[in-house]
Amino acid sequence: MPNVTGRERALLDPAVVSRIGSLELIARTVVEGFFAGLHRSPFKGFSVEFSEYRSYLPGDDPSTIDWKLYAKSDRHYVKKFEEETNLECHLLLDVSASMGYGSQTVSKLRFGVCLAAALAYLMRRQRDAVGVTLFDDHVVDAVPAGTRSGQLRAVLASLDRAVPGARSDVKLPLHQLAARMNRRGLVVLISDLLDEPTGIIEGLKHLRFQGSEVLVLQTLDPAELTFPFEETARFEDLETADEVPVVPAQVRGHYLEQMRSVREQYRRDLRLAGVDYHQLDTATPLDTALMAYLSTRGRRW
Amino acid sequence: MFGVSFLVPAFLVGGLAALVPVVLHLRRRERLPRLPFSDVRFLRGAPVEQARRRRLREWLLLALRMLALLLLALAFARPFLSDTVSSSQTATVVLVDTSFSMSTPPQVARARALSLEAIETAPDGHLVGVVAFDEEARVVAELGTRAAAGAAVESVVPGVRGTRYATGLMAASTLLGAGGGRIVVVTDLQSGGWDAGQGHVSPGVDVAVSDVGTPAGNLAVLSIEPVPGATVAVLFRSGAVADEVTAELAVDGEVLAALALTPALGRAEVQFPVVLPDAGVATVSVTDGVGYEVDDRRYRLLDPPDPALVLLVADDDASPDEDAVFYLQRALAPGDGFGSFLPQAVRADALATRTELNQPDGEIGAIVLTGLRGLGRRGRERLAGYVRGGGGLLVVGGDGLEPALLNDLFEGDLDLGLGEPVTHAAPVALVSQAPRHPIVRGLGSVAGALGEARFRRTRPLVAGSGLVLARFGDGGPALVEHTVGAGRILVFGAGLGGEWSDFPRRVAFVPFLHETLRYLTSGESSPRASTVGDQPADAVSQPGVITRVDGQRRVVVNVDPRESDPSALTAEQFAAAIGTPSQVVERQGPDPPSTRESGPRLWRALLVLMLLVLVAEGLLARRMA
Repeated sequence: MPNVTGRERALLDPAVVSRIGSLELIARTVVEGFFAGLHRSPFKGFSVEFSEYRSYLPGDDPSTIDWKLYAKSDRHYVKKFEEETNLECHLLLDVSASMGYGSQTVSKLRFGVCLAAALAYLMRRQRDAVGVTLFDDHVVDAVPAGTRSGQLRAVLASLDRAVPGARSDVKLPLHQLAARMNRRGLVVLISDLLDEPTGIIEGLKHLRFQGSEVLVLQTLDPAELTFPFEETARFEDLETADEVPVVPAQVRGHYLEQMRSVREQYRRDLRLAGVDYHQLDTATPLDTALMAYLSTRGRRW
Repeated sequence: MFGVSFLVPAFLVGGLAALVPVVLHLRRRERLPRLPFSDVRFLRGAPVEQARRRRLREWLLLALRMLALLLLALAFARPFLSDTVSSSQTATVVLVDTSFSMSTPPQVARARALSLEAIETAPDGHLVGVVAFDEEARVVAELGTRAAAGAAVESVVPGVRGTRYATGLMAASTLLGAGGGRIVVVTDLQSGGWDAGQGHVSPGVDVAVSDVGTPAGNLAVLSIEPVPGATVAVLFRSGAVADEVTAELAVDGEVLAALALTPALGRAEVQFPVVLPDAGVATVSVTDGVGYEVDDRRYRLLDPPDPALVLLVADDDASPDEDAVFYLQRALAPGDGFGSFLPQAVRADALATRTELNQPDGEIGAIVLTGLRGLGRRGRERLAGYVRGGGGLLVVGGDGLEPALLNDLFEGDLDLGLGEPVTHAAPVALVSQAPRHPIVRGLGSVAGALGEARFRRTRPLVAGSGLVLARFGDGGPALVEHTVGAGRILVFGAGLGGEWSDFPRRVAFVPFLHETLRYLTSGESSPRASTVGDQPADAVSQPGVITRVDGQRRVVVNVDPRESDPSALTAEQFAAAIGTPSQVVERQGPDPPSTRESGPRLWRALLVLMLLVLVAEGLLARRMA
């Protein structure tokens, strides 16, 4: 885990980060704060490649000699190439109505947006091609993965426009993305996964079949994990507007059991499918998600 | 079968209180705060069985509370079981008029068709019954199937009696019972049918009318009256009849005269130049061809009336009123076998053995009491019982009467107020009073002749609660009428012997005595003529001559002349004559609550049941808390 100070940890706190107006600033703050705590991390130096020239030394691969520079300077320099990444990162952010739920200062959607922004920033810093897709029951907005100079800004602008939408249908964008991807890449799904697990898992398997690595970051609200309610109330579904009169004391046990069962199903089935699965809640510092990403990336590339 | 009715149905409104738990439930439900949540799938589907069980319990709890309130309202409404089928369900009764004003063939056919139509068009689910009525009502078909009612209608035929709507409506309403329903009256709407009084139906009963219609015209014979040298028949014509009809007068079947005539509208007299004989049955008949057949003939009995037996009671020894008895006998029976009375002198002690006295409606028409001595306890009891039972008694205040014995006759129930004899220095006359009284009215112009009589002695009379019919010239009551039980007592304040007055020798004496005794025997004399409706329903089926039980006396029976007038009401007028429900309740004199609720006390059972429900509700609520 990153060894972060109190100030750095504050920069990774979703509640603090979410109060920063600029999404780009948020991303930078998070990522820089994250890397500030990585000095003793085993990931030190990873993917930080600089192109440079040095004098040819015996033993160097002659193919690395920059002949153009030799023509100009008549001296042999070995060209240290920028590492040309062929990793295509796709961020899938669920913007369905249920993601708008937040029992505390940060909704699941805001948390997801911050997380996606930080990941995009991190990906660009690693010279990865990054794209983003916002979806609920259909694709709301999409920025294809790319490496051009304004790519990060385009991704962040797309994320900045995210608002809670309609019902979620996770499997649909998964299948669409799988059909569209022509290169193996990394897909990061940020969603509460409050949908039919079977369809979601099938979609993720589709991506895996295409050769992509998949990281699933299930984002939940602490209230969804603990069901802390006490008063009898009519619970209104944010997606369907259905209302259910509930006596919390009567349903808490069964609800938590159902939630645990679903999460366990995701954990089990996604592991079998080769998908990395992490569960986050909106009170979780964002470095956990970044660490999960780097762990996945580092394991495969 | 039983149905449930309510003694105080207004309390059923209290049943609306059962809605209170529902309203509270809904209002409380509305106040539940709304809480947005990401996904209620696990809430709705999570504790499925528990939620269902709890919801079931909540509904059960609500139902128990509503049931408790309903039971309370029902208990206060005081339900009781009524013994009619219809009390618990709606029914239709077809009320068919079978008076003889419904007897023309077109009316019979139409009445049958309308009755069957009423049966067929009865609302779905109705039980149907049939009641026939004229002057009496008969349930022809109890509430049941339409087929049974239709079959019963086929057997309904008009009779010879008059119309009494009130009787029919009462019977139909009774058949419907407390549950109410619908009455369809199949009738000709004859206006005379309401003469006997207003009709009433129970609350909740609707009355509809199916008009059969009236014949084009009718000609009826209303009466036969002998006049000097001739016989007059009174006819009544309504509507159009044949231009010329024949009226025949016959006696014992032998036609004595026949007249061709054109009757005028309304009442008309037809005079036959025939003097009726002293015995036999005279008949006048006409043929109108279009109207009711049964009123085309009328009967009159010519036989002399049977004399009424009058007991003349005197003392047991040499009566001081021997003259009185003599005068009485001569006045009441002027010749052998002639007259309306059959006087029989008896001694007072003989009354103890006259068992006929136990039958006030038996042979003895009246008793004239001139003396009491010798009348023992048994005789007094029989005489008092005779009077109380409806007999007539004339007390002649002669010498043979002792006021103390007389007042003892009715054991203090009645003081006849007869005093000791008083001799007048100047004889006093007799003056009639109460000119409308049957006795005085019967005397007619002879009443004035009473003043010719001179009374030297009289007995003072205290009328008390009695009615003074005549007074002496000094103003004292002379003839006072009392009633005791069902009987009549006339007290005359003087003797009839020669030493009292010259009254027996005056012209007014015989008429006075006859009218007095005719009045006393009026309830006793056998009827010589009657209408069909006066006879027991099973005794006379047709007008004509019947012979009474004794095998000697004959009685003629005619139809009710009011029924011969086919004047009809409109349906609105008919409906207006039916009392409103509130009147019905009062007029019919609803059974007192204790009687109507004489069955099982259902309200107690309901209260007990309510308590049990509340206990169950408490247990359930405690378990859910």
